[in-house]
Amino acid sequence: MKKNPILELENIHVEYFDESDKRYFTILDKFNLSVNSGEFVAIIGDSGAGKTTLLDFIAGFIKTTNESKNNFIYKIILKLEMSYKATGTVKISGDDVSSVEPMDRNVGLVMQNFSLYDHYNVKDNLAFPLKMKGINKKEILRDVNSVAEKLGILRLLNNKISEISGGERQRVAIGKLLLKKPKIALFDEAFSNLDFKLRQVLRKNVIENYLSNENALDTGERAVLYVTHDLMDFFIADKIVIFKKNKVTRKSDYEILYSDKDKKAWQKLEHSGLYKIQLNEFEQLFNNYKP
Amino acid sequence: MKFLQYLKNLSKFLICFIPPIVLIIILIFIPTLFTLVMCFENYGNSIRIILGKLEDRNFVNSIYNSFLYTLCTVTLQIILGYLTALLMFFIPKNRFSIFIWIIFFLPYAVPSTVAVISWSMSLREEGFISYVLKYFFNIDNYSWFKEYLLLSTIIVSVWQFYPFVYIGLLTSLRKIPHNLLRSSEIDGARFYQKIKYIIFPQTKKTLISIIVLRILLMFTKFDTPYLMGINNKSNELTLLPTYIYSLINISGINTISASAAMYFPLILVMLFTSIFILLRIKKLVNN
Amino acid sequence: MKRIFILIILISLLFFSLFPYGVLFIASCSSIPVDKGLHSISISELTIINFQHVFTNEFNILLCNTLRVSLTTTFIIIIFSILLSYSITRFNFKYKVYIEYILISCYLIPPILLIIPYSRLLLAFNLLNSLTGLVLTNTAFCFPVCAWFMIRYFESISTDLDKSGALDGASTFKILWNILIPQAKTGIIAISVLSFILSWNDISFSFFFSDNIEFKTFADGLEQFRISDPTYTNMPSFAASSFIVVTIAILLFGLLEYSIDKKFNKI
Repeated sequence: MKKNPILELENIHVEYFDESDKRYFTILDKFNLSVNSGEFVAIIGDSGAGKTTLLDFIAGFIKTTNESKNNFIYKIILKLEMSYKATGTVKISGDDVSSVEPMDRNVGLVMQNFSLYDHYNVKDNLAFPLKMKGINKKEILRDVNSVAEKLGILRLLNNKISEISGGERQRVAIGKLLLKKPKIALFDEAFSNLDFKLRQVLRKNVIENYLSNENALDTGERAVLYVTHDLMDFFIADKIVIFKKNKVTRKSDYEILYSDKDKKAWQKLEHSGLYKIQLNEFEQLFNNYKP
Repeated sequence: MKFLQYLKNLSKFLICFIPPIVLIIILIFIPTLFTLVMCFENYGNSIRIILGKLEDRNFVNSIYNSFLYTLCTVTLQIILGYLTALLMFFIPKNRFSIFIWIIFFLPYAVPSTVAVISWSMSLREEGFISYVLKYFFNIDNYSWFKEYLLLSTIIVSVWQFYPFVYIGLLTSLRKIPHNLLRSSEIDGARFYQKIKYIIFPQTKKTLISIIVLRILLMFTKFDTPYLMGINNKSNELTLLPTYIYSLINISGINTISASAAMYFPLILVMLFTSIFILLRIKKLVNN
Repeated sequence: MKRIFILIILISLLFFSLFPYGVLFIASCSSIPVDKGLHSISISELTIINFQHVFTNEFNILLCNTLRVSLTTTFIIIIFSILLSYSITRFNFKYKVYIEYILISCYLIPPILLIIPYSRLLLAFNLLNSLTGLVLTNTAFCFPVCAWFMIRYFESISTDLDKSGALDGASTFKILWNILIPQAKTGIIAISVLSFILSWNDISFSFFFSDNIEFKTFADGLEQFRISDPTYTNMPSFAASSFIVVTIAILLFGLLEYSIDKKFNKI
């Protein structure tokens, strides 16, 4: 059975305005990627190579700028507001969402520090996406309770965010994702602050739970895009996107590896030169890793 | 040896610490203490004077006006200041935004005299505002300045002091983590929902402390109401500070007199508002 | 749509902020007394002659006085607040937290409450009707808030710098002069602008403690001229001098924002 791509990125081109140099720098150029339903995509690269820019583009924080729109006010607003130029199309399940606001795209985002609302308690945090959709309170409470029970944070529901630990915050963030039920989940170095073991467990739990619809409240198409520095993450990824920054032009080259979960992909990774690690060390890691 | 080192440190500390503290004690502590002693040493007399003054319609009016003035100015300042701060927050920082920043801050840099002169020129019968109202809404030429002195004073005070609110709120708005706003957008919050559920709760503490400051500063505001009052001959605007000033003026600046007793209500009101509001803050924070 | 809505609010707020300033500018450029209203002035009647008047008549004295008072006040405040914030942030002692509370509550004491004691104090030292008296009272009024800001700035400078300075063999006051003051440069600029403008715009103290125009500051002296001229005949020259005074204050605030902006952009 051939799957339809859930996310298609075509010809993405982003330029940033540099205040000190007073000119635009290209950061992403002619970037293409298609992700199938149920896939897990890992994204690695140098800092400033465009990983977060890519996630921003998918989430809708960077919208395509329409230069051809010949409206005086629009042009002034563009000049005042935008520090970047962007072109390209983003398709989610075949629909073009390039000019859609972030709240109307079917996307979830977990950030490095989880960015939970510290003025609310855990329950309100979990309920926030549903509250924004205008669902009535009884249903929200039911859904929140069921998800919290599955994630084992039922006893924390009335605690403040400042009172709970890092791992628990992580679970709240994941609960938010499961309640929102987005088609595409973006993780921006979400687990990198945690220690090694916790990271392993959580990542496995989250991604597998999320992709397999185990804890989610409905079934549907899912995909995960995941920015990471952790080599272990590659072992379970279906696709790996490597960004490589050209220090002179500041433009990023990219390469997409299709992992068939064997050694060939790691050989390619070694050739990319991003990780100064010997192939036999890779092999050792791979052999020791038991998913 | 250790003792010597200690002495050396102590002397350095005292050289730095004593001059400013002496300045504060001589120029602020002793005068304030003097005022307090002046109105509380003979408190029986002070209370008698105040009770006697209660029959003076000007005094009762001044208290009523003071409360009305404080309420209106603070409310309007907060609304305008919040709106401006939000606007500046959503306008990204670039080369143009510094000019907008300066224009919004401009009223705060204008001396009260100049503000009063400028506004009284436009609020006169022949002034610009009357002209605009006649031209667009066909309202007869009217001296807003003369007939609605309290209203015009409120407008001028709001114009003068809303930048204070705006600056305070803008700094607290810029302290909100950027990721929080992004994450709320991803969670589906619309523009107004973002303001209601994220921005407003995050700035609540700053807002409360700004309100307290504004109430205390506006209640004791002297110059703007006074200048508006003397620019106008038809009816006198009396607030508590201007009333006190008129009493001092009658009895002479260098004599302790009935005017000292009038500090009594001012201090009491300041004390009660601050205590009341501080208690409210504790409740809000606990909730 | 949302953007256009924001733009409309922005423009109306800008208009509200700028409107009295614009009125002032038009009035200062008008060649006739403005008792007919500013809308009746045509463009051909605008002149700049009023600005020349500012430097030839009695406004000159007022501007000079104001400048002297504000500059002296600023100088005193800077020195004292550097000393206070250095002693508070770099030495440990008990009850140090309360000094900040004291400063804040001093800021909240209204000038009207202090007229009688100040007038007695100034009378005792024979300082009524003098610029020194104005400097003293202005210092008392501005010092708490300025010192509070300065403490905030000094707190943001890491104590590691002191330690490395001490290791290099600098004495306490050399550390203060060579390391901390250059580090707190933006803070010092900000506080000098703040104290300068507070004393530049002050009206109450000059109003209460000076009877003679020779010893008045601008904001108060202008009001005396206004009272003596109820029919607005001298309005254009009032407006011109006010315009200059306000413009100086605004330029200073622009400098302040620019310097702060630069500092935070660097970080």
